Amino acid sequence: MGQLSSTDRKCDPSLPGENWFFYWKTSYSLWENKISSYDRNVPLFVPINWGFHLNEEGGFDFGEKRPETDLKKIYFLAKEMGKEVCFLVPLGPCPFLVNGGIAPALASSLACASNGLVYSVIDSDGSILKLYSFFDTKLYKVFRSFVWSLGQYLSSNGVDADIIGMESGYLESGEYQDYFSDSSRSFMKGFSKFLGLKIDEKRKQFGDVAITPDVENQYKNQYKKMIKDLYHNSAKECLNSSWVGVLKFAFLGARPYDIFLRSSERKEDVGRYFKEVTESITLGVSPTSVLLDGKIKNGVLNKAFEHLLSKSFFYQNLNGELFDDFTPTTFFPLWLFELFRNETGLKEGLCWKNNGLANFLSCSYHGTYILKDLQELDIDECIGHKKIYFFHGLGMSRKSFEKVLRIFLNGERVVFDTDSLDPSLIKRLNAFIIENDIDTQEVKLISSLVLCKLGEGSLVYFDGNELSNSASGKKDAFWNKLLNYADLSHLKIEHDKDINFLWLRRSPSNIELTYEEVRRVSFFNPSSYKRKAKVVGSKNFAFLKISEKENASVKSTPIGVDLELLPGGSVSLDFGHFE
Amino acid sequence: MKNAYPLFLIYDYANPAVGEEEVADESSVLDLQGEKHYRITYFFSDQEDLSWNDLKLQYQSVFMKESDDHLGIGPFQNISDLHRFGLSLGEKIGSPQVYFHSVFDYNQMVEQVFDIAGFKKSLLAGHMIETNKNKGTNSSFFGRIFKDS
Repeated sequence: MGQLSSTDRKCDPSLPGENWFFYWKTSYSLWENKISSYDRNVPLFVPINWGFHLNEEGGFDFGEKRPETDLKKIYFLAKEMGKEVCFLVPLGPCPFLVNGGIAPALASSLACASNGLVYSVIDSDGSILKLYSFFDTKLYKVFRSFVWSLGQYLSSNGVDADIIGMESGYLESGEYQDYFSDSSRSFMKGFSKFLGLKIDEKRKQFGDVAITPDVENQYKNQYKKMIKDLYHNSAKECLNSSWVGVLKFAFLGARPYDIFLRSSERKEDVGRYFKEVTESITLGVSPTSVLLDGKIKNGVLNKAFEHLLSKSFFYQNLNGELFDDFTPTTFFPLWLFELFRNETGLKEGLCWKNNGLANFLSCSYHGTYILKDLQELDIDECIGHKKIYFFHGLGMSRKSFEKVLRIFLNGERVVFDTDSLDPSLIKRLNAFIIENDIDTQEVKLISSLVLCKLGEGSLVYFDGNELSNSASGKKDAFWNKLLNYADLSHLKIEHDKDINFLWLRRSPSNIELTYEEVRRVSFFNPSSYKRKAKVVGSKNFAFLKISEKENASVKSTPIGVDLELLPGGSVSLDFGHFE
Repeated sequence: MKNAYPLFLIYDYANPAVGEEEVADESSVLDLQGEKHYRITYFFSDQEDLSWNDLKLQYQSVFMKESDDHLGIGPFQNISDLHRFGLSLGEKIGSPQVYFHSVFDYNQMVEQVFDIAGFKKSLLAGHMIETNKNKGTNSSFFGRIFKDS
């Protein structure tokens, strides 16, 4: 069979983008051709269209009746060709599947965003797909039955592929919104009963109970998590032998009102998609362009995906569960900062927006930080990576607080905004400083900074309450000064509007041992104009090489590297970093 | 602002006491108390620079008070007030027509459409008010602007 040309492949609905394969969108007889045309060094992601496998009798078809449902065939074809396959099991509504993946007979309640608008998306061929709610109890029973059947089918057929749970969502104002969290009738019905039970419990304990909107929101989050965990745990239990974890995917062009934008006469803003790609890195989610029109994603956006979406990228987002066959020179996303947030019913990372850190890092250290959940804080993962760890007092438990102190004691750099920290923990902090005889120094910026040093470790803490009420310029100045104390080495980028760039890092090779690491910055110009950028030189960095240059020119000068990118241009620059 | 495109406003009912929306046939979580009102939950125009802040300012200009609905623009005590606001905004930005859809109707509409052409056609089936900007204009002009894909 002939190979598909790269143009054909890029417009092929069964290969909609990056490393995805939509097996149900093509004939079974063409699978071999499609899989052989996939040439990236990243496992082929095969999302399972579980509604597609439901047969008329209410059971599941895995090739017994329709060859297009024969998942093992995909695995063995790929294996014969030396390619890896990962099956993605949806754990909620999927925007690229009809009804979000639910069989028509089960699709009862439309899933809605918080403003009441139904979740609806435009896919790459202009069809409008609606998502249905996963809060229907009937649906959960069928899902449970499906994942059990899938597990049996895969293990009895010797299919050894990794299985990843797939969460689907979109990015909105720098936050990840999960389609699972909806405000549908099914949700409200179930939540109503849940809330009723909670109120009864409270009444038995405390007598009369007032449910404020804040309390109700907390209960809503509890209920959503409870149902979501049901789906997660069912899939994990039934697919245990091959289960490697959960990946969150952010679908570009799939916000609730993108249906208006993408159906209007307005030119689609590719620059906006780049912004979402960078935000994805920050939030530890995997961006995907599978819903976008071929014309949009086949240009410079596709290049950005090729740079970013490597095995190592998915590895980091799966917390190291997958793809451990890296060479020492594999590139990983460059995360200089980890910002921890506590889920207290507030929007993700709001504390870091309020005190200006998120904005400062977005501007000055673009794409080099990640937001993580405090509940997932693992001390072992914080050792030896030379990052700066940021913590906030809002909602911090004693257990997490002790972990923060341990990270400092282990020689890491910690910045702690103690705004809203429990007073008992503030006392504990002061006692800790005294007990360990730690050198401290006080510096007055907008807030009083206390700088603590113990061996290699440094801890800077301050009360950010005053900072949150300051103008953004003052916040930026504060963070700039604070990070000066951290002795951080990074390259400054000056760039025209529309220029986008991504940072990656890798270990030095055998011939690069003078360097601590190698950092790569990849530039993209999605606009229709020529644009310029400059990497400002720094004494801790040596310019090593240019790669993947397309429609771009690069000039090394005594003060840095100047770039000019034509429309659609891109280029990558490697820098060796030494102390 | 000059604009040749229609303005679309999507509105809903709201209960300020609990910040919850009431949908036509849904059982409420709590007993709804307090006065219900309308609010705009979403807007769209092909005019790129129209923002929520523009709507807030227009609300203030029309009703001489600030919009204090944290989930959208409002309150509007009745549908006439909502239309009055929509018309004034449409005239301000130069839109020839303003289309109104309730969230309920919008969701029903979306459930019935399957492609972009169907979506656009359905959007134009909402309650429509012509602004002064469009009175006397040849309707085929509008037809050329908002053509099917």
